[in-house]
Amino acid sequence: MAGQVKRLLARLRNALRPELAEADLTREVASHLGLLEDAYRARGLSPAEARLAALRQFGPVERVKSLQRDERSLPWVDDARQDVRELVRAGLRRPWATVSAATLIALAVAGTTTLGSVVYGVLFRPLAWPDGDSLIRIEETRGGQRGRIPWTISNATYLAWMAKAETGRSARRLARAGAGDPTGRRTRCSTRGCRGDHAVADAGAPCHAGAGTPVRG
Amino acid sequence: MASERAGRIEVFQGTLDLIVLRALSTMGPLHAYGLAARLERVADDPFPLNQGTLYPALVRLEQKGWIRGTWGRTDTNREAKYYAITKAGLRALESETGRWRRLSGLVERLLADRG
Repeated sequence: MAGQVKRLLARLRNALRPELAEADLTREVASHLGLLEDAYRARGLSPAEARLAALRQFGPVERVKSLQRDERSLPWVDDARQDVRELVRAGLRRPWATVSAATLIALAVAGTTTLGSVVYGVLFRPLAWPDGDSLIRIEETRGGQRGRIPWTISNATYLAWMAKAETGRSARRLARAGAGDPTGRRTRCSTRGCRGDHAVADAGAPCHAGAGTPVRG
Repeated sequence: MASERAGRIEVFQGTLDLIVLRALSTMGPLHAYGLAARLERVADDPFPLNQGTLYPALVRLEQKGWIRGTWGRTDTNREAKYYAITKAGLRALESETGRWRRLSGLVERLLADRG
């Protein structure tokens, strides 16, 4: 366990400052190839032949270095560091292109975030009241005619209903029970809960339940 | 070339670590070339090891604190990084050896089992 922690710290250190480890590796590989060449020359090979034989025996140098880098460092930190460096260089070479790209990305992110917020607020966010899905929208009609402003009721109707219905749940019960407009006007109660119900108002006027419209906050 | 590749032994990561620890514990400090040469000598068959493949194992063991590398000079006056096993490395060698024996014993029994 201690070995693993020690290793993680060493890898992090190498990821952040790879220069030292890289120089060490280059030096060590050169030394290794030199020792191999010495050995082959001692067997009678020419310097060129010894060099070739040493390289063959060592294996592909760049591949070996790459494997060692992956092992000594954290490749994703290495990659991220290189990406950032490239980004900064590119930004300094063509600043206006960078500013345009950054602005475009910022606008896209802002747009997406706004759209997401709206969709969430309208479609998914629960209402701020308990049993929010029981809220109803009501509308008053006279002789089958809707009012000048749709989905509104007069103050008198409102007050009469609220005297009996203080919450949406109560209002639904009210609609089902047929409590209605004390003034005798026909009242259309609209809610899913009372769809198909035929209610009669207190004053004797019929109260029809229409297609419901859930209320969203 | 093809026959050489066919005879090549795949050395798994943990196995290579164990081999390196064992070689350093018996031979004392060695550089990477010395380690590779030692492996080639110990193997009964020619051991077609790409010597560079030792480097990931060496850096892994060094980062774990199981071996320590220091720069020195060879007999031929070339500079080389010598690796020595540490106390933690000796303890790791003991536990890794036990693990290897259990694993190889299991594989051996499975291979010997005729049904």
